Amino acid sequence: MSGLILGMKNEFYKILHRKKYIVLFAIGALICIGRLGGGMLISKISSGIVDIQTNMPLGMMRLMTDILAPLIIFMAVTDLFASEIQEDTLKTAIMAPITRAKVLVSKAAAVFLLCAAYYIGYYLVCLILQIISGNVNASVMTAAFGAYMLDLMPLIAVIGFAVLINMISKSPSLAMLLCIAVYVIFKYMEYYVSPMGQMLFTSYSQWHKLWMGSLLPFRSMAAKVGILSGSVLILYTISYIIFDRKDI
Amino acid sequence: MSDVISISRLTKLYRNGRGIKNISLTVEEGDIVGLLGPNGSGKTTIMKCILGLNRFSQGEIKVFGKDLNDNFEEIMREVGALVEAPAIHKDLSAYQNLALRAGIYGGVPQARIERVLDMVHLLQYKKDKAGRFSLGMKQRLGLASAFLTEPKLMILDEPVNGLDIEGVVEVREIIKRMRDEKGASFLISSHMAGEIEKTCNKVAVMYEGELIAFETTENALRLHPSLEDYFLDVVKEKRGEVII
Ligand SMILES: Nc1ncnc2c1ncn2[C@@H]1O[C@H](COP(=O)(O)OP(=O)(O)OP(=O)(O)O)[C@@H](O)[C@H]1O
Ligand SMILES: [Mg+2]
Repeated sequence: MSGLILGMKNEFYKILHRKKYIVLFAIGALICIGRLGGGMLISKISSGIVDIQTNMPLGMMRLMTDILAPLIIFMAVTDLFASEIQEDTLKTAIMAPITRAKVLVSKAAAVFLLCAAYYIGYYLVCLILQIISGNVNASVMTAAFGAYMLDLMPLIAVIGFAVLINMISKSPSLAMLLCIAVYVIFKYMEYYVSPMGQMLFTSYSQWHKLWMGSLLPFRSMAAKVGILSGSVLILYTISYIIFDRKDI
Repeated sequence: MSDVISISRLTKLYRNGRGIKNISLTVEEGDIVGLLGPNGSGKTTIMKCILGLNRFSQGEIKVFGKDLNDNFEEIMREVGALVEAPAIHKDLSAYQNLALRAGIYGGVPQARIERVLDMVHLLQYKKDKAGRFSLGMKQRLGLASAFLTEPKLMILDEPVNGLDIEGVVEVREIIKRMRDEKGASFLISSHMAGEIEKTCNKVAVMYEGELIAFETTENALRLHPSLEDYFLDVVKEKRGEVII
């Protein structure tokens, strides 16, 4: 257990040393600011008749869950697997008092931690903007925070998916390309190929809607939890089998 | 003396059919065993198997008397290694690279990190990005990383590769001192017989994926003027067998 936590710390340390994750976060924050500015402008022009921004954190959520989060996951997982294999630095993690299973989980956990930091940071940016816009309702904001935390869960599957793609790709650029291409196909299926698309793990990026709706649709919820945990299990198991046999 | 490494009938074949066949080798406590062999003879492959980097299909590896695969974490706690090119994170400094490795051992005192950097003469560059180091400096950092936790067993693949004359002598002295003072054991590879002759008390000769001789350096030198002649003779003998 302690090996796992030490490993995760190490992997997280490596991620934090790359500036691109900070840049990406700044871009996300800038988009939020732009949206608030636009909203205020429209509201001013229409002298308050049109008021777009009622819930900034929820309004900006799709950008985070469907675009930014997958992107940072693909980048971070590729940095920690395919790039390390190419640069021959993965061997430091392997030639250490930690089993391969723990190496794999500690890398995935570090990426999850990065996502959590992004979600919390992004929520805070939105919250501050909301406060600036002068339209805050504490209970609505608390609910929005709950939604962000709930939406972290489906990312575990997205991380597993990226790990699996990394296991079968020969180079970092190929891994990144495949991650994005397959993700886009899955997203396309979610919207246009029903019911198959709705059964993919990628379609749960905003599953807080299930949990926080006015009435809880228990049956479909149970089914989705089932599909998601099943996907997680399959993705990580196959990744582990491939990883464990690899010559590093 | 107890066996630090005992390998029996180890076979590791890559997908292209090359690799090592039927290797049996022991390293006893306090030994400095030199693996000598031409390029592509399988020295690195043996080391990678012992370090869990390569998965092998047949044979058994025991380290400190325990099966490697079943006790990997426990064993690796006492092993330091440098295999092929040193694994260096380019955008981290020399110090950060070592701190990162120390992290997995639950931390190593800062003084210890600085001490190993000093041992390999990198202390003055500790804040420099390791990606900008010269070949020899990277090699020194790789050695510092292997020595970092004062392991009982060190596996060093071409440890003096790229080092200057003084560096070669110093590394040899460090290895001998660690053996004498700490009782550490070593498995070292090289394709230079002279280096093995000066450093190792035993020599194992690899040839085309097979271990064709395993002797104490003393014995090898009894009938030959140098380890180089010994190596050439052993290889010639082996080739003779193949022809007949
Ligand atoms: N990843 C790999 N895939 C396929 N074949 C490999 C791989 N690594 C090594 N080999 C082959 O295995 C054999 C042994 O290689 P190894 O690297 O162990 O040699 P070596 O004795 O360390 O050589 P050198 O002195 O050049 O470092 C070689 O024939 C090599 O081509
Ligand atoms: Mg080699």
